[in-house]
Amino acid sequence: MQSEERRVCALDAVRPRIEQFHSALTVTAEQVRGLLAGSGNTKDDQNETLGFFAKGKMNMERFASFTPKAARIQADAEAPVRAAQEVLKSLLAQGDDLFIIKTAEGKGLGHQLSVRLASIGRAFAAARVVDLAKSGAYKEDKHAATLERFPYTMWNSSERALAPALVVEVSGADFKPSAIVPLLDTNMKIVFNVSGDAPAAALSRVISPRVFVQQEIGDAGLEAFTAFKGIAVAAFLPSTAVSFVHDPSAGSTTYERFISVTFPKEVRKRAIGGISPAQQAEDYTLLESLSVPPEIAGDAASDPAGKLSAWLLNQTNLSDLSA
Amino acid sequence: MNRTANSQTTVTAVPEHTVEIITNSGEGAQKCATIFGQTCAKMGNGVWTVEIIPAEIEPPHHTVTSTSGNIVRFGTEKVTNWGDRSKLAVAFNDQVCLSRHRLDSFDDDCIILHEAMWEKHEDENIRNNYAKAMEEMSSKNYRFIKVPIEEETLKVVDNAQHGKNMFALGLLAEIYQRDLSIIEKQIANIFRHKSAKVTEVNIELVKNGIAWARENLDFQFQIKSVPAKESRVVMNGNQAAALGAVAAGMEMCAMYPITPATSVSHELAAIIENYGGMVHQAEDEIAACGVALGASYGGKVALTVTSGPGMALKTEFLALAIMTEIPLVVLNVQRGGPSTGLPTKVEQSDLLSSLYSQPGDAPRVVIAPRSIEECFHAMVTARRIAETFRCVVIILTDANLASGVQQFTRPKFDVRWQQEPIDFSALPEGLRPYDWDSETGLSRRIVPGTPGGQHTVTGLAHDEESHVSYDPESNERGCKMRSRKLAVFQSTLIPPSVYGDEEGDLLVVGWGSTQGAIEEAVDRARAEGMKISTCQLTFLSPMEPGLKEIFSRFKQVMTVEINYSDTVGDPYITEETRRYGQLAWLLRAQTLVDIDCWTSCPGQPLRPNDIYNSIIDKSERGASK
Repeated sequence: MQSEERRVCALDAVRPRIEQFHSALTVTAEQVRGLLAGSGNTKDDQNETLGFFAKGKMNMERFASFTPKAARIQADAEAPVRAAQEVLKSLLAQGDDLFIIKTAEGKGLGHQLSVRLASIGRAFAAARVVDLAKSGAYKEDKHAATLERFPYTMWNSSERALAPALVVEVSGADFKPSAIVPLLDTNMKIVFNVSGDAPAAALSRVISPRVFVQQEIGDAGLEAFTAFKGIAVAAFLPSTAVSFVHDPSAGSTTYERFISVTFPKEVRKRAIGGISPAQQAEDYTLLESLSVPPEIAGDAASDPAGKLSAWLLNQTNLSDLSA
Repeated sequence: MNRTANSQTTVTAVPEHTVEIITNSGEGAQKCATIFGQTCAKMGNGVWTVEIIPAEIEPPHHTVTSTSGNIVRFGTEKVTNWGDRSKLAVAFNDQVCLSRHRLDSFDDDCIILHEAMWEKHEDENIRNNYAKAMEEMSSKNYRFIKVPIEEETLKVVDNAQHGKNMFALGLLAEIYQRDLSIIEKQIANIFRHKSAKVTEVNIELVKNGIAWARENLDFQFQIKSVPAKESRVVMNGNQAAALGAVAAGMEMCAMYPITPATSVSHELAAIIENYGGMVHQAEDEIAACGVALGASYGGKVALTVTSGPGMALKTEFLALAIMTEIPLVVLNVQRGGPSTGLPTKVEQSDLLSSLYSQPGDAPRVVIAPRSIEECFHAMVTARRIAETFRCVVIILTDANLASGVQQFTRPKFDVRWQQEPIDFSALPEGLRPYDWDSETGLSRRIVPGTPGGQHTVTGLAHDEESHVSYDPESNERGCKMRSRKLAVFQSTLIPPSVYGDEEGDLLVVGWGSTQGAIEEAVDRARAEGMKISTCQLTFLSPMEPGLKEIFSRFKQVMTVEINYSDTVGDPYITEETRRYGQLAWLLRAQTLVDIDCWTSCPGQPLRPNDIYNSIIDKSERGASK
């Protein structure tokens, strides 16, 4: 797959999550607009708020006479609500660009992702500010700054569940995925489009029981990544890298979850982006050890009883036993 | 894919058909029928499906109690109910077939495609039971066609249990010339979370079914499909209610699993967090109601979902909601009762308990969607009523709507459905928590945390300050104000429309899910020159205005309901002792009109023909008076 094709494929893979986030953003922006404009005043507004079920069954105008004319807010709440509205507008205006990160070389992968997420998080901060302002609990000195920057560490579980997916373009030298581990929670989905030479088993360090991880070097798509419900990380890497898919839904033990693994015939032995050959070899070995069935230990295999018990242990799935 | 019948095949054009797929529980009839029904809908046919669900979770196989399946009624025109008896059935064994025969589910000349292997089965008991079943069913003129369903399925898969349904789907696809490309897409969608191989195998089974039918059957039915001009969606009532809850901006659904309501929470749980809401499965029905009430008290838009037995358990918290005037939407998907009753079956028996189950005087709004489409839209309206009138709104659907599938126009979401009506402007100096408007009973809702609005709430009788108050005048005023709101709300309602002429000999009155079947029965009677109309109520508390005036234009009024009523002439049952159907009881009390009723509680939806017969019976009895 060519670089441009990979970019399109990556964006397609995260499209459902982007649309979901966009949808939530649009509805929130519209609600805030309605709040400020005194939505609910017009006859049309009143008709629509009652919905289709009421048509022909209820006198909308009469019903409207019993409703508050608008979801009004206190005068001193207007400024923060307007500020929140501006944040929502600016985020919406960015379209897909909001979710595509073209990393600058040498600036740190984790840092650059955190900065972008803090920017995206302003959407949640805006919603919070509106709620706080409505209830009179808004404090300028405490809450105003969140509209400028609302880092991932401050997102609550609902906000993390709504987190949009990201497409990250990064050079192989800067591709150090262990830096993103603190961001992998709830529903986070990230696709890396890696250019240039990169460590062969770079994503091995983010493998954990509930995280979908895919390293792709060929033309295979990211359908499984898109379909996976939960945290998922994928990367398009050069053909010199390992190709693998770790799918948590595929099994209870680590090696069962590797639904495909292809190791390259040879691995280049030179430092990439400050990652020494030894460090790369360690990642590579880690991946090898995770992706193959456990072998019978040497000592246990030395006598028949040991062989038998080792074989039995190997056949028995003890993964659901607590420690 | 274009398929043509062979030269020996008789193709009969019909406006509609009703088909049953009947199997042991767990043999995939639902999946087969779902795909078949959705294919019909996507081709442009009107569709209504009804699930046949055994009362037990794992009934013994190959017995009359193990029958699981689905009925699909589809036609060229819109279909609004499950219709009368089935014209064609695919039965996986003789016993499930027998159970449907005993329920008089098949048309007299029904074509029954049934599994061939039981007749000569190695087990003598099975052979004997088969013979007895065929003997019993021989009283009808059914056309039985033996199909080697299992044998053909085993040509593709090792375990026929996981494939017979797709072979049966192929039979139906050929008999009704369904579009295979749509079927393939439906299969791919259903198995999207499984490997591609699973989809391939299932499609192969369907193709084998088609090939077998083409080779061995000498008939086909042609039901014209007219693709819809507008965009449509296909779903059941519980899915519609769940999507409606999201569209209405519900932020919290607290529930405890109960048949047949549970799937509402399943649907919601899959999507609501994407829109900032949550589903909370509480430890029991009581807690679920309490959690929803607490969320609403805190300013959130809350819903609780249940069925009859759950409603009984929620009684106390619903009373608290009414006393404290905290808005709450309650979805009651009715099933048969009393007690645990008929969990998987339909009944309209919760009407009176939904209106009157709380101790003391506890006015609330009760509405009843009449179609699957209305299950969606009712959620939006219910939220608005609850918040505007600070009241409990109970939505009564039933198992017929919950599990039936129908297509309807894709709703166009309007963000104003989610516009919050809470007034967040500064509280006027001296405003009291229950500063009732003496004319309307309405008072401003104060969400906790609003500056200057601090107050306690209590389930005890209280005054405008929300202080506990036992003095007679205060209690009288509280009751009056809570009741007044219902009268004010009723003033916003429009008299219900009458289907048919505005006056005549007989008015049939129904409520909720029976609309389609009643209107079809009335159409038949009207086609025979009878002066009969019908009126389907959606607001049960308060009732729509003008009912007495509407009733006065008809010589007789009769309700049709899926609940129990006594029959005069039965032992001990006289005009004096007779218990009426629940809507009839309510309307008689409300209007003082001598309203009769025809009710039935068979655990299944009413059939148009049964309603038609009741209409004829009532007309004849009325004429002889």
